[in-house]
Amino acid sequence: MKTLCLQLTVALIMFVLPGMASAEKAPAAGELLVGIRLAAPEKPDVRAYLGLAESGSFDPTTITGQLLIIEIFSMYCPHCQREAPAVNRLYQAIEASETLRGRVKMIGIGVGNSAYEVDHFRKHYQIAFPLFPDEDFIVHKSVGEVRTPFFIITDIGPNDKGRILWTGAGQMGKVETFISRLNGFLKQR
Amino acid sequence: MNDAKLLKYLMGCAAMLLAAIAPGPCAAQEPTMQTMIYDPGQLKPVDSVLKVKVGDPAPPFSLPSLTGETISLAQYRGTRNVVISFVPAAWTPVCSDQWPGYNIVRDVFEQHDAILLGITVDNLPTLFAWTRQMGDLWFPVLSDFWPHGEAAQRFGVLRTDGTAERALFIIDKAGIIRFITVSDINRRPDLKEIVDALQAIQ
Repeated sequence: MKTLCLQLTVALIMFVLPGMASAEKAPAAGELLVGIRLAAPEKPDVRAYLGLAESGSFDPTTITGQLLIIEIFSMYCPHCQREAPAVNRLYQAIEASETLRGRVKMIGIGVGNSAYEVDHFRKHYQIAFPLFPDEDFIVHKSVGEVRTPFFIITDIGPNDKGRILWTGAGQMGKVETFISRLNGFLKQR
Repeated sequence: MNDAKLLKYLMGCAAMLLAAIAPGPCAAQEPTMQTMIYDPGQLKPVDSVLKVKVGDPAPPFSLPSLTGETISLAQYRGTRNVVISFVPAAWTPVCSDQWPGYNIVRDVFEQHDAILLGITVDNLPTLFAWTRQMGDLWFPVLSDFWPHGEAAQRFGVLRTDGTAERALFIIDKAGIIRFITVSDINRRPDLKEIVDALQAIQ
């Protein structure tokens, strides 16, 4: 009986747990953010913020700066709606900070949202950082179909471009805590 | 420790281990709506036959709403365009997103002199619990529960399993159907479809 119990437990740990881990392919700290392509915006001020030279599509890890915050959201997600004011405050705090402005960039990717829907979300919440539609869930699939909102901080500096430094699901937490986290990552560089 | 206790102990440890390391969004926070959704998987995209067409008078209906009122289509005659959003069922994936999205486009509806009526075939207690997770909805939510799916049936959007299609109807102030779309039940229709259709009937 004891042998059977042990076998059951070992089987659970060996087969069930790795299966769950592989089913959840959400980005994690330490991994590289790869395979995301976004349509380059046309507005010159947005292109300037992102430092984009190319047109067509671009890899977000080529955005100029040292850290990139990506919010995976949906216009249709009530949690994202509730979080929008806090995310705006984060962006404002970054832009108001002499140490962070220009070094930390922010974008949002609206999963399952059309360009119209993303634009409505932007206008409704007066969002100042660039938002991109992911109408066919292509980005969403590439980030493990995470639930929204989901936040990623990735390195976009020259030495470790694309390295994910932190991820968070659900509420982003206090703006001050998030800012401290960003400062911490910048100091480690 | 006897065998039964050992088995209980080991399985308990395994369960705790699973709970500790199993992935789950917002795991450190309160349970969210996303964790309470039943996913039926991919469904037959459309499973009914429309009984109305653009240009027809809209079939009349009166349904109980979450606020306790009975809402009739006729009460908007002459005053408002009416957008009817049938969604298949409460607590399912796409439906649980659709109305929260509409909840932040009230201005668009008002610009086009339109009211939105959200309808499912669920009963009122279910609709109450489900929509509380969406925040305060600005539009009436109606229950087409009993006689089951009668309003959906009149429009021809009651599926063979008793749920409704994911369908949108726009009815003008004269009570005439001006727009119909029955979407793939597995996908949310683009908001712009509604906006374009509202613009077209102005």
